[in-house]
Formats: sequence, structure tokens, C-alpha cells
Amino acid sequence: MKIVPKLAFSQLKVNRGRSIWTFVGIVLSVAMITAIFGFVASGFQLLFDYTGQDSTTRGLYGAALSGITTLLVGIIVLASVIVISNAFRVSADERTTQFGILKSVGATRKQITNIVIYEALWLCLIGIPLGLALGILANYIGTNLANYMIGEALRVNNGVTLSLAFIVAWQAVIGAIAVAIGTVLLSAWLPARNAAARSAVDAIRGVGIVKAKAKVVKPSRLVNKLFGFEGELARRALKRNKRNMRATVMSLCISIVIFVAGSGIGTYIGKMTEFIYQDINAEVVVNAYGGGSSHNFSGSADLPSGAEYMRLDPVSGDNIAKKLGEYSDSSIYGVGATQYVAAVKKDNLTEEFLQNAAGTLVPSDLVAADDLFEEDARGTRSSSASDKSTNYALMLSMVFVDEKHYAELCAKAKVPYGSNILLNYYKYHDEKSRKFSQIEPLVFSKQTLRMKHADQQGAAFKTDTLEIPLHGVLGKGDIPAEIKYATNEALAILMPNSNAQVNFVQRASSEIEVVPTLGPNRYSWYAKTQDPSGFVKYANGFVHDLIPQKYELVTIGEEGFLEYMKDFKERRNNNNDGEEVVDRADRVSDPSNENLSHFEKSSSMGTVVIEDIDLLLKEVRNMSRLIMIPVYGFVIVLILIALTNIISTISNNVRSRSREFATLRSVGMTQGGLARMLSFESIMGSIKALLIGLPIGLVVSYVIYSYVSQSALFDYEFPWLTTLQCVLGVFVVMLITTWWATRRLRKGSIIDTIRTNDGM
Amino acid sequence: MAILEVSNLTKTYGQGDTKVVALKNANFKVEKGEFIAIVGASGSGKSTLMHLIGGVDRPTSGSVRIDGKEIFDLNESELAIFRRRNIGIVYQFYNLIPTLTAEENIMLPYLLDGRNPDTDSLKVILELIGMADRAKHLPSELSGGQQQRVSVGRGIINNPELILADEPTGNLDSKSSREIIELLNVFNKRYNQTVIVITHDEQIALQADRVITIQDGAIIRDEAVR
Repeated sequence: MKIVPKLAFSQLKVNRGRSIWTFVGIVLSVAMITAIFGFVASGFQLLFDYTGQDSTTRGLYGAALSGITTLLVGIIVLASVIVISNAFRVSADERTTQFGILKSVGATRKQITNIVIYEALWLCLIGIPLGLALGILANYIGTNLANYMIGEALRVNNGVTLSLAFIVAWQAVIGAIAVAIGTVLLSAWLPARNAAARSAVDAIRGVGIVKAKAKVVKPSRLVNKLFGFEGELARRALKRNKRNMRATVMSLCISIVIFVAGSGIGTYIGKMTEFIYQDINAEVVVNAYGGGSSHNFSGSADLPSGAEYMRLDPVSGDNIAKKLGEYSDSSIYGVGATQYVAAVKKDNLTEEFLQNAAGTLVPSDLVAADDLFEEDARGTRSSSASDKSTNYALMLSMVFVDEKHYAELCAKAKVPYGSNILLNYYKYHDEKSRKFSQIEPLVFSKQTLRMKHADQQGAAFKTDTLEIPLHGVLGKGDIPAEIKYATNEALAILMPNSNAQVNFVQRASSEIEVVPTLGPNRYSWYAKTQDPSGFVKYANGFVHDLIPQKYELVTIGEEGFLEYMKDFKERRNNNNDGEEVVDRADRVSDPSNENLSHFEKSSSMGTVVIEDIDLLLKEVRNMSRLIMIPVYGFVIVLILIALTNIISTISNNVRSRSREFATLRSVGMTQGGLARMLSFESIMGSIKALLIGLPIGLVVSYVIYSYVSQSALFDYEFPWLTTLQCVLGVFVVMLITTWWATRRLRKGSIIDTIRTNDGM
Repeated sequence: MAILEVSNLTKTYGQGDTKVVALKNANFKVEKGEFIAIVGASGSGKSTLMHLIGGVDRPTSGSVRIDGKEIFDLNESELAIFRRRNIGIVYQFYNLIPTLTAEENIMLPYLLDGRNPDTDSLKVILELIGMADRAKHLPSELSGGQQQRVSVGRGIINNPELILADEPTGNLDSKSSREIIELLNVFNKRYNQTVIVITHDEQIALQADRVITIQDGAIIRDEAVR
């Protein structure tokens, strides 16, 4: 073997302990990088399968995935480089005299550099394959685990199956190897260069192994009093020889930051899952919707456009509620709703609403229904306070509930049975206070509201304008949670079930003969029950028969419908959905598409879903745990890598100062005193690491919070527990490591240690 | 032509208050085959002089010519290679690489060049230094005297222009010291090797052809003793 690699190899054998720790560090880093690359490859595969031809979505998600990967891999590389390069630095320092000899005998700088680099390469020879294998194994286990958990969670909800394929993509493997080798070489390069740069003379004289700065360090009374002279020595050692401690402190800092950030992520995910179903207090919910997706008018693969027109007659809704209630020990709350756009005078709206909820006002051009508003003023969003005659267009929910509860609500509102009751409640998210607020939008009076049936974007259909008189009102405190949960629009009116047409005043419309709404296009039954799974079985038994799910269309003249679609498309072209609208319009006007030529009146819905909320919550929690596994795994492995560094640095620190300690002992310091001194050093080092690492970690955690809370909206809680765990962890690690390292010092007589040539 | 020519060699450390003049204007010439002892009190500048001659350190001013070549014209790499092929250095301690065998330590200059010395020269040298039976031992398995013998072996394997030894016997008992001196003598007399030894030891000084005395960084005496 050539001399340079041979020197590198034999050095590894000399200090087995440190070589092993460095080796472990390398293996862990490589494993992590490989695992991440592997997961990402699977993720991309999944993305491809799922989004298919939709290149925009794929592009978007692909970019996000790449971004996250780069971030994670970047963090691993950074942490690994810092940690591993320290190991090499220490190794190089130990051999300063050797390098000096080599230089004297005629080794060039390059040869010295290469000795250290070869040390790294030797470790990689087995380290990288082992790391790869470990990473692939982790990937395999993780993928199967993920599939198991995802499968459970998604099956019940959507009937969709997603699965991650376990892929060993050659790109991923090559990529991982490249990054790994790069990391290790980068780690070895700087210490190698530094070692080579030291002059031969300095090296041989032994200068540069343990340097102490010629700094004037004033003795600290406080430390002296608290910790005695040993403490003072410890303090001075730290102040003058920052370099040795710096690596340890940095590794600790990195661990702290990662730990705090990781715990933060775990907490937030937990909170997010709580957030999702926080308002429901039912065990099971039976949901029926008009369309197959939230955009009823977009038309999914199974349901062509026009599914918007599907209805459930509220009397049927009540019947179903009664039947569901027959299951033992259950109580049912049935709520159905459909959306309208209503014209409201500005001075009828409360101040609170105008200030906070202007965003819910529908743009007038979208409404495009002249007869919705009174003759003079059209709906505008005027902000001038003096313009009191202005009408606003607001989204409105027409709400139907089961008979029993309807009667209760009428009684509460102190109006006779059969009244139309204004549900004066609106919930919005206050940007500033980051909380949800509930306000009363309308100043109630026994007014009549004009409204038109609308789609979810607020575009009114060419149907009759309805004039609904308000007979009573319920304030936000009196409205049951189920209704609040089921409605999202700015206003809501509770209507009686039967004879739904009785209260309407119909104006004849010229062009299109669409039967005005008979009832809700979405209906939910909230069930409180002791036996959720039994209830689900029971409900499944009859609900699908009672609510036909075949698509049946409402009658409409073909031209009228096409007319509406063109109108719709024009309005939409001003927004970004232009592309989508073209698709829909084309689909509509395609004469070969039979389904669209006739709509028939019916009482049927597109989708009926029974959700066991309990089970759902469990699955959501599973999902969140699933997400947390890689996060925690990541955190733990990074901390382990940092630990390998801490242990080897401290051991080395102790060993290289053995002469110093022996001298102290010869002058009369006891073993205990020595141990105390070293403990103080490690305590002070820990404190320093905490003072730097904790704030950084908390800041990072807060930054993550601010990103996450934008969608989930929960409050920031200072992570006291995490901080405490951190502090304890750091002290424990440092003290144990120091104690273990000093065990070796107990052996060996004083004089032997002093005489021994260190540096060999 | 002189094999070694030292002209106005000066080395100072530090500045201002902490300025130390380790070597002041050293001037002398050495002919091939001479055995020179450099003597002086501790801290007189002997080691500094040797480091400069060996090209292991750079002077503040002045020049060193070995076989006509101005060695400080070379850059660091070139100097290292030059040293590897033309100079043998022996220190008082820390001479050997602990992870290499005695044999490998001797061959070090060649190994650094990427070559193997021919096995005959190696055998001869091993015989000469009396380490033939211990060739495969590690330094930790050798006594101080044996280690120094190996160092000397390394110093001459590349048939250098110059052998420099800095207190080679400083750490040895009298018997081992004599062995080392004997070796240096052999190389000097039999192979006409130029040897420069720094020493406190009278014995060595007696073996030399010429003694150069240094005090406080300056050469105060340079006389032939034979």
C-alpha cells in the first residue's frame, strides 16, 4: 500500500474509540440522507400517479417536495459536516508532531492533507455502504408503515387508496452516495489543510496542541465563592481555550435547536388535528351532498355539470332524522342548507359586520341579477358612509332542521310555529388577534329579504327572485352548534320544512322555467350515540335507499341552460379560472353528451357519506403520528450524530490535557478536585450551549408556528416542557460524558503521565 | 565547491518589545565529507541554525546554498521534495512514525517519493545500524537507542548530500550514545557523507573535524580540531 493511505489507515487503528464514533456518525448521516432520498422518490412516484396529466399541479407539488427535500438534506449535511469535521480536526491535532516529522523528512503539504483525507475515505469505504443499507432498510420499514396508516385513514373517508411504492431508484442511491461522500470530504478537508499548513518546526516543538491565549483573564469572585478554586480554573480553561469547547458547544447547540423545533412541530400537528373537528359534538355524522365535490358546478368524473340542482326535500330530511333516532340511545340533529345571494341595505348591517367582514360581500358583477335589487341602486361595495341607499349582495343560507328542533327554535325565538327566523350569526377569523370571532351581521327588523338561488361563488341562477319576510330572530348565543357548523355563509334564515313554497312570493320569470328550490342541496344528520359503530351499521342499512344517489336532473330548457353557462363563463374569464370554464362550457355544448340535454326534477343527492367522527379523529391522529415519526426520527438521529461528536471531543480534551492534570495532582489537587474542575467545565459549557441554542431553537419553533397557524389558527404556547427537557438533557449528557472520560484519569501514576510523550 | 554555504543567515521572532534574535548573520562553508560539530549553551541558536540549513524553517534574511542550489528560492513543495532527496535529518526525540515498522520508517523518504528503495541498500543499512533482526518491529517495541539508530538509518538511506542531527544522543544512555556516534562516524568516513551534528556531548565534539561554537545567536568560534 502506498505510504499516504497506509499512514491514514494506521492512524484509524490507533485511536479506535474515536474512529468508531466518527464511523457511527458517518453511517447515521448517510442513512438519513438515503432514507430521505428514498422517501422523496416514492413521493414523486405517488405524485405522478395521482396527478396524472395535470402538469400544473404536479409542477406545484413537485416543487414543494423538492424544496422540502433540499431543506432537510441541507440541514443534515450542515450538522454532519460540523460534527464530523471536528472529529478529523481532533485526529489531526493529535498527530501534529508526526506531521512535523513527515515534513522534515520531506513530505509536501499536499501529502499531509491527503493523509487526513484518506482517513475520511477509509471510513467511507465501509461507512457509506453500511449507511446506504441502513437507509434503504429505514425507507422500506417507513414506507410500509406509512401505507398501513394512510390506507386506514383514507379508506373510510374517500374510498381513495393512496400508497407509497417502495422504490430503490438508482437516482436516489447515486444521489445519496454523492452527497454522503461530499459531506465527509468537506468535513475532512478543512482540518486537513490546517494540519498541513502548520510549519514543521512548530509541529515538532509541540506548539499548537493545547494553545492557551495570552489573554488577561481577571479572576471572578463569584465563581470562586460558589465553586472554589477548581471552578476558577475551569472558568479560565474555558475562556482561554475556546476552541476545544467550541465544537462541543456547537454540537450541543445544533441538538438543542433541532430538538426544540422538532418538538414544536409535533405540538402544532397535534393542535391542528384537534382543530379539524373541534366544533362537532356528535359521534357520527351522516352527510348528504348534491355534488360529488365541493364545487358542485364543476362536474366531476361521475357527475356531469348541473349536479348543483340536486335536492333533498326537507320533509324527507325530517323522516330520515326520525328513523335514525330510532337507534337505541341516540339523539339526532338534522340540518340542511342551500345557498342564496341576498340583497341587503347597508344600513341594515351592523357596524361590526361592516368593519370585519367586507370580504364576504359578493361582487356585483358576479350577481348579475338586476331584479334582485330595487329599482334605483344596484349592489356596489361603496365604502362611503353617507351612501345609505346602497344595497349589498350577501351570501345567505336557507336552513332547514328536523321538526322537533324546529319547534324548539321557534319557541326560543318566541314566534309561532311556521315562522321564518333570522339566524343572526357570522363567524370569521380576525387576522390581528388570530382568533375566531362571532358577530351578529344584521340589524333585525321584520323586513323582507330579496334573494336569488346561487352557486357557491355567489353567482345567481336565472331563477325567480324570492322575497322572504323575517318573522323572528335568534342571536348568536341561541343558535345551536350543529347549525353553526353546517353553515358558512354570512346570513342564515331558518325555514319551516313543510309547504316550503307557502312563504315565497313568486314572480313569474320569462325565460327559464326552473322549479324554485324545494329545499337543501346539502343535509347533515348529527348523531349523539353510545355505540358509534353500531349506529353506522344501522344507518348504512337504510339511508342509501331513502336517499337515491342516482343522478337525476332537474328540468330546464336546453337553451336556457347553455345561456346560463355562457354567461357564467364570461363572468369567470375575468378571474383565473378561465381555463376551467372553457372546459366546462365545451363539455356542456357537446351534443353527444346525452346527460346534459334534460334535467328532471327530483329529490335525490349525489353523495351520501356516513362518518364515524370518533374513528375519523383516531385516524387523523394516526396520520399526524405518522407524520411525526420521520420528524422525530430525524431529530433523534441528528442528536445522536451530535452526541458522537460530543463524546469523542470531551474524551479527547481530557486525554490531551492529561499532563496538565498530572501536574495539578503532583502539586496536590485531589482526584475529587480534578473531577470537580472538569464537571464545572462541562457545566459552564452546557450553560453556554443552552444560552445560544435555546433562543435560536425557540425562534425557529416560532417561525414554524407562524407558517403553520395561518391555516389552522391556534394560539402560540411557549414550550415550557420542551425547554425543561432540553436543559436537563444537556446537563445530563455533558456530565455523564465528562465523568466517563475522567474515569480513565484515575488510572496511571502522576509521574508516568507527566513523562509520557503526548502527541505520539 | 562547498557542499554547504551559509551566508548572512538571520532569524528573528516577534516584534518590538518581544523581539528575539535567534540567529545573527551566520556565515560559514562546509566541504563535502566534513564532520562538523556545532556546540553552544541552551538557547544559543543551534537548533535554529540547523532548522534553517535543513530548509525546515525560513530565515528572516540571508541564504543557504546546498550543492550550489539556493534552497530558499524553492517554494514549499519543491523544498520538501528537495529535502526528501538530499538531506537527512535526525532529531533528539519524536523521530519515528509510531504506526510504521522500523523498516518502513527507514524507507520513509523513498516511500514519500512513491518509490521503493532497492532491497540491497536496505539490507546493508539494516546491518550497519544493527537492526536487521528488529526490522519489522514498531517504535514502541524498541528502546530509545534502537529508535535513534533507526532514525539515523532513515537519515542516510537516500544517500543525502548532508546529514543533520540535532542532539541525537541527548536522550540516550552512554552506551547507546556511543553507538550512535559510531554510526555517524562510519557514514562519514566510509561513505564520505557530510555530517553536521549539534551537541552538548564532548565525545561527539571530539569525533568531529571541526567545531563551530555559537553563543547568543552568533558564531563566536569556528576551528578545525583535526
